[in-house]
Amino acid sequence: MLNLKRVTPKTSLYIAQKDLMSEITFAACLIFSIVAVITPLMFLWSVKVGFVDRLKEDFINDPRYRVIRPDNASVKQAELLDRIKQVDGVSFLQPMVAFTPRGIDIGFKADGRRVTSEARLIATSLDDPIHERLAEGTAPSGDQVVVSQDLAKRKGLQVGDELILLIGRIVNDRRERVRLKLSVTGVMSAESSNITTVWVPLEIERAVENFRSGIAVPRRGWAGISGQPKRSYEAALILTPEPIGERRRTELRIRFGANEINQLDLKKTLEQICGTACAARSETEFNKVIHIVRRPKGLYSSVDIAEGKDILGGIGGTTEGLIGRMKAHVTQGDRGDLGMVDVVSLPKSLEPVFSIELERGKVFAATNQIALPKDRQRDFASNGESTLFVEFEVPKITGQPAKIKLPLRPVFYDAPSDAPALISSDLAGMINRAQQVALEFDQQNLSFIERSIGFRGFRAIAQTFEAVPEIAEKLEAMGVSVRARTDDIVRLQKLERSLNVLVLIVGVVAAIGAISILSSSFFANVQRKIVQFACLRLLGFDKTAVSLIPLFQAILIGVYGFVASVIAFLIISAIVNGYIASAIGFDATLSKLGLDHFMVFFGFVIFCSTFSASFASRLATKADPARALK
Amino acid sequence: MGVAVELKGCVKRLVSSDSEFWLEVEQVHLEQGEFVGFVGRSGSGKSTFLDLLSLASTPDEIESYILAVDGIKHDLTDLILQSDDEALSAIRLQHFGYILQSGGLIDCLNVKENINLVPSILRSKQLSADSPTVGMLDMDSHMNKRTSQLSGGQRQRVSILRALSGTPTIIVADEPTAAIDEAMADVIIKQLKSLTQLAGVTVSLVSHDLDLVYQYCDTVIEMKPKQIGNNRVLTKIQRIC
Repeated sequence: MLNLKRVTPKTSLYIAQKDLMSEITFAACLIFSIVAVITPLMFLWSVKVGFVDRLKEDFINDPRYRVIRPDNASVKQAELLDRIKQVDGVSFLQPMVAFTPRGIDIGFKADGRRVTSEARLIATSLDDPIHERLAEGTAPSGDQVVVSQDLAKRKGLQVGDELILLIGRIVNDRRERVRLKLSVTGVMSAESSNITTVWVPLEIERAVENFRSGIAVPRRGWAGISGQPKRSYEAALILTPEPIGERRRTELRIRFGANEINQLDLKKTLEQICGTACAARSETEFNKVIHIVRRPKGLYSSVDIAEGKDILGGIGGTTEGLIGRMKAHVTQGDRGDLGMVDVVSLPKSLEPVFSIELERGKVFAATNQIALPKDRQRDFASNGESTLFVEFEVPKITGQPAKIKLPLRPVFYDAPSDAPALISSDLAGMINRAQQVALEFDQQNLSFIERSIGFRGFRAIAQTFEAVPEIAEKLEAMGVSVRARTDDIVRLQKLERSLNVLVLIVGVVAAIGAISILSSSFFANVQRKIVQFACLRLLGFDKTAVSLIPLFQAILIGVYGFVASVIAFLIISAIVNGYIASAIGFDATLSKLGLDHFMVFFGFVIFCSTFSASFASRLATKADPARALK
Repeated sequence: MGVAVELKGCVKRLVSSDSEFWLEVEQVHLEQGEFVGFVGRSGSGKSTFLDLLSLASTPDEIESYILAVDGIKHDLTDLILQSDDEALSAIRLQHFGYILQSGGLIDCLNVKENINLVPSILRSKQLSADSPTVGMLDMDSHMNKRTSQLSGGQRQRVSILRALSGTPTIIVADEPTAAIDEAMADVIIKQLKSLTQLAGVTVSLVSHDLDLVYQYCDTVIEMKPKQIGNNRVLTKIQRIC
């Protein structure tokens, strides 16, 4: 076989280059046509970038645009906070004990005198991005605090100074106050906050809020307020002898937070409270008008329930708290595990419907009862020890998942085995308190103890301000209603998108023009030199080798055209930024492009030029070697 | 001397709207180092035959095409029938040299670049102003000139140098003297003959100048067209000396 050598692309490139150099005027015309299209496009894009960047700078420099907070105090569970932290785009999440930063008195020495001031108290962590904005010092840990710039300037506080938190609460109309000594570890920059603020570790915020809420803080030696924890309910049952009039509805809406007050019949009420297994009891005679009301966000406290009773007292109505279905584990002394039960709250006014009367009285008392369906009597009833231990799973407020184990006396009511167990609304309201605070049950003293206040909110920080609207959307989808400056961000994004589309349209029109000019020029050039191409074919250039010549010429023209366009753009840009921007009052670089933009333009130019040359390239392959011999 | 190239059973039909031309080659072979002249009146198919011989175009039918390189015969029939452009282009590059009517030079390249185009691709020895071949054709002082600065005779000499620079097996010269005066034509063909004799290259020369052909060619082949219908011409090839 013959050992054949072929024309390499390098030779095609060499011929392409030589041909362009031999027709420098033709090449210059093509280069200028690229400059005429690309330079205005670059300038247009650079002004768009400069303009949008200037707007973005405000957003980037102001960390508040990246902050997302809940718009109510419904986010309390540590699990939910963990899930929020996992949302894409969230770079940091600070759980907060107070729903919004609360004020606190602070004391310190200034010019040798003890002075007091008021500041916001905000929980922080070592990895809080806000510490990137420290003017001096470091993030706080332990008994340390970072203060805002205004506090440091006004009162002369410095890193290393001592600062005292003065924490007060009212107990039986008497003011109690404790002091917590902290050392200033950092001073925040002026842009970080224009409100007097102190940033402390979460543990300190929790201690402050626990004390204020009457919960003991043993670590600090602060005593709690003795007494029963407050009960809390998910909904309220309203019973009235007559339908509620418009005036009372308005009052309920305003004072009770009952946005929707829907009247229900007994069957639907029972279905809502304890499910379809109880619905058969709706045939019981019941002569009250029933309403179940819920707050759009948040819970009802025992104080709220009392408020409801007050509103409806005049018309002989009552209000009782309701809790949704809870899961509980039942055990009994020697018999051990007796299985799981669903437990719901039974308001006193509905007891006649179930033909039972639960022991109410004090919560908690050894006589507190649980009503179990009669069809499961064999599972739970015992000849000897009658007390059951019912263990409720409650949300994790701090530390490990919590459980509340209560000794309850069983009674049985006529119901199928799939009906839930019933406990009094008062007891259920107490267990439900565990949604808000770390609640424990003292088996010895038969009493509930609040160990620590739970979370009321959070401060999430997005990786970029652009991510904020998407994060807000995801959190809303998770049922967490949030506040963020999404409107401003969305407006900016819309503006940027509109400008992008505008420039893109101009770019497409320009590209069509450039491709038309270049393709006709390249095509005419090959047509004019078709005999030369035929000679190259005769000399041994195959179709691929000749087709590469116009393509390489296009790439060379594209590269030279791009370089010339960049030079022209830089000159224009320098003039605009140096003279025109300041003349029109623009306080930033009006025309600017990044390396990535130049890369995009380079790609655009090379694409347009090679695409334009593709027709000429095809024509070159049709050059007949025999034609060179004619 | 052995056979340099041999065509057998080759037919090429050229059809236009009002006429039809057939070139039929029963068998033609050119010997190694042979200086062969092709003569015939206009339209007899001399250039068409050269196209086929030099692999610039492919025939409609062919029985065999043998190319001998360094004494080894290579059958190119299948490549021709398949119109394998890459392979045929590579064979033209390595084994054929071309001298065309007006030189067929590449305008964007200077004289030296034109002459050395094929050696630069093949990475073989290039000709310089000092090369004896360049000196023999009196082109040593013109090596850096653009082709547009050359006279007709100089262009043809560049063409000869380009054809020789690739050390081909066969040189195809199609009317190389048509664009130059008689005296210059004589010089050019004389130089071509002496250089190809030195290199042992086969030359197939097409020319209307019978004096020139009969004076320098070892062999003359006449193309004899024959009217075989209203608009059909059939040319057969005949070795006449």
